[in-house]
Amino acid sequence: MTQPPKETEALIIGAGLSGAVMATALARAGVKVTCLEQGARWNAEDYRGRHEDWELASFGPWHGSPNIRGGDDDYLIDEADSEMKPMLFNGVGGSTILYGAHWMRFLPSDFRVRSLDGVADDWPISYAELAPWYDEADRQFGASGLAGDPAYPDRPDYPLPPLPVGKGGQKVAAAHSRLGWHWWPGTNAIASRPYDGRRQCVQRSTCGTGCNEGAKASVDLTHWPKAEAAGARLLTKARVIEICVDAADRANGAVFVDSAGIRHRIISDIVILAANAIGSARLLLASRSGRHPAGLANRSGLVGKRLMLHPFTRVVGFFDEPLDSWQGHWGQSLYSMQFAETEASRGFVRGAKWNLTPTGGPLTAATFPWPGERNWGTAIHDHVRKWLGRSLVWGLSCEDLPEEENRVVLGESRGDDLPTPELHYRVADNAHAMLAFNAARAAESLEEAGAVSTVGLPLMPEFGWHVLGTCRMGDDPDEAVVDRWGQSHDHRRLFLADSSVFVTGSSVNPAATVAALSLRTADHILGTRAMGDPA
Amino acid sequence: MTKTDHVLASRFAAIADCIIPKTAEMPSASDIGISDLLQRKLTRYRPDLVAAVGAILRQRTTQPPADFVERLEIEDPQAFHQLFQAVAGAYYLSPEVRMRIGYPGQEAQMLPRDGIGVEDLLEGLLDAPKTFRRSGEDI
Repeated sequence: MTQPPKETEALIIGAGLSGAVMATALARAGVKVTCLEQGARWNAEDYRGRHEDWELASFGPWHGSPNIRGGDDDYLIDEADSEMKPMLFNGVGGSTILYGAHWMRFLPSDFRVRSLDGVADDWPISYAELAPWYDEADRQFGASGLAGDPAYPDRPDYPLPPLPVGKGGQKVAAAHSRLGWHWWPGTNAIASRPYDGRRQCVQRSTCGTGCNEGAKASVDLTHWPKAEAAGARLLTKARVIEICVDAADRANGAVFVDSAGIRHRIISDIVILAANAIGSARLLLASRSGRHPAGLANRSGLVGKRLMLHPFTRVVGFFDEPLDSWQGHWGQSLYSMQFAETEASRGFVRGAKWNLTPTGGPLTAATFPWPGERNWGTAIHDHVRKWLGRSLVWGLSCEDLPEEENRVVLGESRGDDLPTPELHYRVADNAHAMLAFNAARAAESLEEAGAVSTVGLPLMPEFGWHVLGTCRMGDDPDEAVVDRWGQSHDHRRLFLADSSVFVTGSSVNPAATVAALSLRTADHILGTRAMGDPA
Repeated sequence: MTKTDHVLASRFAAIADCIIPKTAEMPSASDIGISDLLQRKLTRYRPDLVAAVGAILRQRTTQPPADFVERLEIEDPQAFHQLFQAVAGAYYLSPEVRMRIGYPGQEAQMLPRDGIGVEDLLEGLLDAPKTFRRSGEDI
């Protein structure tokens, strides 16, 4: 360590969604904030959406998997023993750079899984408790949508009206109305009108490789400019390798490595981990010492355990008419919660959330793993003709229950300053049954909408969009890593603000819940600080 | 271009034609100059794929191209995946191919100002009974 200590009041590790929300809230309240981000800042011009190589880039340097992307800022994840492969992004904005911005709230039942279904655990907080922060998150991210969904409790109007559902969305909405199945116009953190300095969506459907227009709410646009204007300091290419605690076991800073490979120690009143459910667990486990041989915050032994990855698949319907389905927002045009709640007769507990999205260009069509068919030879022409612009796809996001065997552990260090995170994850029988049931229903949905044929896969392991759990929240220090405010049970002044604190995972996209929880934790920190305690 | 380059380009075109052959409606990979597209476009966009293709082409084999591709798919799926991505990726960048499949690329569009397209279907749903499960709390 060659540099003298640096001082700050709140040290945030990770500049993704939860870190950006936290930094903005604290800095605006006058807290001296420093954020350490291992990745770089990106410019919207870097994104490939409006360039001809968009689709090629999405399979390589802009892939959602850090292992496939292999960028300078990415760290290897050993996923050989994981039946779902995680997707995430390292850099200012974190995974919001690549996410689809499906902006969904948990259902009330998601907080009460043990009470209602006799499995997993209840959260220590309820939907009603979190609702005010959901409302604030909607405002900050400029969510577009339509209030009144019968699948949810009443809520205020969205800041922006919903985006158009497109030709395909109209067909599926009509089909679900005939079937008596739930559907609702998609809610997205994508601007349907100019909002807070952002442009409106241009329906290019390339959200998954970064939004050139700035219409999608990625926190490099929505939060970091505000946080930095309020005085927050954001250091990029700064990889944290250890969280530090003082003699009284209070968090008091971190050690990080800069782009030149020089180690620094930074001192802080409080430390807030916002490095995602893999990165945060990895850091806590790697901060082991003689005093804490199992890592920090790990008295319960649960750090890294209860990893959830939302088993996922798609069902594609093919139509004999043009639907322009390579355009739109990606983003969801519709969603359905018809099969999201437990129904005992189905033979499994919990459920799946469905989202209807555009279906991509010719390369997506050509590379789809068509079951039982070769992809090359004359088949490639058949596949593209059938798919391109004439297909609709339901994405099926299934709730996986938290199991201690599904976990992140530390592997060997592979040229990094930290041990490689090793994932061990099995898709449970309950989730397999859920996948099969929902895939069959999704095929029925598309057929009712007029599809002449459908194709689906039992599981698409490469789409581990949602990395959840590993540092669960709970009131009992023996059964949880953090308390109901996200503070470590073991270490005062150490907070977790990201999706690692999830007790259960719901079936919905987690971004809105991560934002709401981070805002809630920020308010708690500010409340205790106002009373003279930094945390 | 050296003689070796010519041989490799010719071999690549033959292999690419197995992956994307000519049909009544569509040109083959070599019809649209796949080797040239690989050099002009993929070298810039996906140098990783160009390097992978180079390694595949340098494999010593006397097999006919179709047999080679078939064997590669079975014995080295990762290499096949890279080859397939390179060939298909370059092919669908071709303006002629895009014209034939009716794909102009991803385009910026204006959002409609006359609604979202399902207003009539939403009538009645907005006042429908709530379906979420209640947990006995203050919702």
